Amino acid sequence: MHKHTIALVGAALLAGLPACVNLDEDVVTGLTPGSYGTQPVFESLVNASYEPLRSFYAQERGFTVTEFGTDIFTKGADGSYKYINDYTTQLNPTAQFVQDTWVDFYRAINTTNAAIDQAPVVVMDSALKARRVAEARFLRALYYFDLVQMYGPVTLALHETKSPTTEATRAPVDSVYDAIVADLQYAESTLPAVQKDYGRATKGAAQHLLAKVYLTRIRDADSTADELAKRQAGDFANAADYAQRVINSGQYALLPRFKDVFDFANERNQEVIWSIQFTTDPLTTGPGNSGHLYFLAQYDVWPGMTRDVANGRPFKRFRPTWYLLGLFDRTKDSRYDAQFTRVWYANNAANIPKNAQGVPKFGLGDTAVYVSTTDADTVLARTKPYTVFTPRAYLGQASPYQDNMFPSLNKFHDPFRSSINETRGSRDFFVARLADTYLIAAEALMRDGRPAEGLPYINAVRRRAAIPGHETEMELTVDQLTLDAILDERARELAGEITRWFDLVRTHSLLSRVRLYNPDAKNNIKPFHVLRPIPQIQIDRTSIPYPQNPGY
Amino acid sequence: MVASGGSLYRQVPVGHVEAGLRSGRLDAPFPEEMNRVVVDRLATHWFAPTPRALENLRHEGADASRVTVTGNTAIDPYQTEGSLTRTMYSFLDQPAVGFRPGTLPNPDLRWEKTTQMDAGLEFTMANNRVSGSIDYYRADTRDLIMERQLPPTSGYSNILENVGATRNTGVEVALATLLVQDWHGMRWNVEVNAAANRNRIVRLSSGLLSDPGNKWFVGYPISVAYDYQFGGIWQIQDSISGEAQRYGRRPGQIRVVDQNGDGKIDQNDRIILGTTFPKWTTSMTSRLDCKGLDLSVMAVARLGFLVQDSLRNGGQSTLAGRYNNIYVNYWTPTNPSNTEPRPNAAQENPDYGGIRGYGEGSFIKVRTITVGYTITGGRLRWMRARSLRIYASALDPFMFTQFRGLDPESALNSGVPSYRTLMMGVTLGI
Repeated sequence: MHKHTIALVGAALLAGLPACVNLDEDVVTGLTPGSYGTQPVFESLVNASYEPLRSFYAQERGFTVTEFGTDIFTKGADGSYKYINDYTTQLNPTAQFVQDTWVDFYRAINTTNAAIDQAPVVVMDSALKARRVAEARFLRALYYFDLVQMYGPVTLALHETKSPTTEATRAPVDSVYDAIVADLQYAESTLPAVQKDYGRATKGAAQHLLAKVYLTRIRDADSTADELAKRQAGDFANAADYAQRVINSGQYALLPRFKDVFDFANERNQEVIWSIQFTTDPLTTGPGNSGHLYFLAQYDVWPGMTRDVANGRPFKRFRPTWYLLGLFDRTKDSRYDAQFTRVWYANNAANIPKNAQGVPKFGLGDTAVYVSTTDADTVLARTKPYTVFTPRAYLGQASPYQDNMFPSLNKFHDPFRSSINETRGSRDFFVARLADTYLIAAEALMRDGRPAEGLPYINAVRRRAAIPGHETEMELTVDQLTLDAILDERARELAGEITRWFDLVRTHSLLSRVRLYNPDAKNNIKPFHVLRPIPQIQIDRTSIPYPQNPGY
Repeated sequence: MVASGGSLYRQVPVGHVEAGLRSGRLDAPFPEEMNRVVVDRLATHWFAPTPRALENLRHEGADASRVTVTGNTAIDPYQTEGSLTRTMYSFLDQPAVGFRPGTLPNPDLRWEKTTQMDAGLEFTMANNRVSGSIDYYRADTRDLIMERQLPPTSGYSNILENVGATRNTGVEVALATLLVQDWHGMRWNVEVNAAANRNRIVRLSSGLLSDPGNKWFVGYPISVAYDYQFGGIWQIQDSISGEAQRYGRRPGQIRVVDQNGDGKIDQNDRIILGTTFPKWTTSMTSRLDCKGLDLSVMAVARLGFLVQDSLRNGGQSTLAGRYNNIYVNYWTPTNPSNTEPRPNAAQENPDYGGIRGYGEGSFIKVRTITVGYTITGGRLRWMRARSLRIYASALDPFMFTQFRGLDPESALNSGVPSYRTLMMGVTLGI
């Protein structure tokens, strides 16, 4: 009797439990780093070099370290990373995003190095091989570019790690930039204008990035000396040259209307030079584009509203500053209305307020929440049945509106997610788009002492942004073309596109602009904040001294 | 696992290789954890890969003299060759599968070797009413195999390596006494076991004396807490005296001990706060029989070890007002608490909030108390039974500790406290 019981239980257990069930790890046994060299493995290394883009771009990590703590966005409500906006002591060598960016990008760099090192022994069509190497070098340059901008002097590894090492040193910023430029020049000369697989790096992407690298390259900590050194080194001329190659390539065009650039139905439009790919397929989209979460105000807690897929999941992290909202001349510039959502329509009959007779004060589809642009509308709050939010400048508030309700940047809005709380959006994330290239050209030419040549490029972007009929009014004159004007224009055009903190650092204007425009950061920010701290785990695990950035 | 069940039934001794490995969660990794827990219960001899596994077994009541620490067996075939990890991207909305270097090859990996010296003394006296043993052991492990953390700039996070040499020394004392043999039908047995184990790193193969990245320090145990030391809360008078400002702090924030007194808190102010290995573990079993009545009590103790209280070091004590928080005596200008910082809605976690959780974890637990009464003989003839036992038993009924969290024992693992269980039962012998 007992024997039978044991046998039966045993059989049941054996049937129910095949080997180890561990779904996290995806290790291919037998395929080891030492044994590859075939075309499929080489190509999969190149494919793998793209994946870490998704750990930073279109994620909270990338948005937080480039939009928080700038002149255009400050903290909203909730979230674990307010210290990155506030520059408090929690922005330290153990800060999560500071560490994760470092870890993921160096892993990515090792992957690109593995592909590049392998290439000579791989037997395949030589043109295709060169193209794949160029993609890997483009990606390696991009990872290093982000690293050097965030951390300053960083370890420069251009070959795959073959054996365990605990030694690492920090290479001077100049050598890192030299390596980036060499990679991008190779990529620029090798990559095709169009790739059959949309999403792979192209010649235009390399040219755009190279222009930005030349414009960004810091040659001196002092802004005046830096300007001079960059001009003498030809950085501005080079930046202008590569930006103009993109613009004149005939491959790309500014769309006629600004609002169409972020049209979800047309995300592979002519203005997009290179984008990080996301799909609606959960198997291939990775973490998805989660940008739809962070800029959205808490629309769903007011009368007549409930959270739904169409309106989005509001994380209310990034609140526009007075400065950003004040940048737009709304009588001429279409970009304010195009990129900020300010009205939400009733979608919940159950909580629409009723009058004394029990009749709902408004119906489904009527305005339920209205974020007004002007304090003149404060009176509306009393006369209209819907909820009205005004900027409340008259209160002397440090930031407009309130921490959970504000005009919401909608560039990443995603109504096609599978459920209300799904974080994985499917929009591609534009890393290089032509309006940015135009602004790079304008800035490079101006800083190279050729403002008249630069002017048409910024005016092209401004004319395109005009409310129809106001194109001429939008144009700047040569006298108006200053670095501040360009930074203002970049804020209007590129808000939220993971570039602002970098723009401020490279123009030596992070401190001045944050002190002027970011009320939560202005009292904490110090000169050393132009670099992020080196992650403590890097310092701890390196057996020789690995210097921390000053101030941390 | 099934085989061990069968063996138990046939009373064949079962030896378990890789005994004592615990994740603390029965369902992860699945089914290994469950198999190991079950088989360890059924086994009579245990081959534990690490001193920690030995500790786990001892803790679960295994007879330590039947546990052998074998060294690491968990080296999979081909593991030294490195591997690739699958990645996923997409081009043109089509899957773009990739492979990236996943783990670094280490062809130099050698067997871990342990030499062990034991000395023991067994004794009986007073007509066998007192018996016991004293064992001393010293185990020297060379080429200890562990995951070594690598600088992220290498592109890898860790590698399995022969990281150095450790020494385990320990004493185990066992004493069994028959305190009362037969006094008005009463019999009372008491058994006491005590063990002390000291684990320390003798040498690191990197040649370093301290390796903060792995938290390995020569002369210290292999598992230590290396962190900042909690020094109370900055008070208003510290601000008046200017001391708080010197550290860039405000009243109400957590004060970190400035170990080197250089006027700033940085990586050099981290110290070894302690180890999670207990200095002593002991257990005591007492059994009293008297005219069919039996009472047995088993108690265990772990003394002298450090735990991280998962309630206090983070998520349950954020003092940010966004999530539920455990009730703590937080600082306000009028309540100068020195244990918990001020609430602050502008941050999700207090600065250095994690170091609040470290604390002494010593505890004594009464593991079981069982009371039973057994009837035998003629009175049971009507129901054709030979014996009838009625019993009540309590599992984990009492704990004595100064630990502030839920359970210092489980704080080592998942933080979920052990259950207090009351059972009553009837056993009929036929």
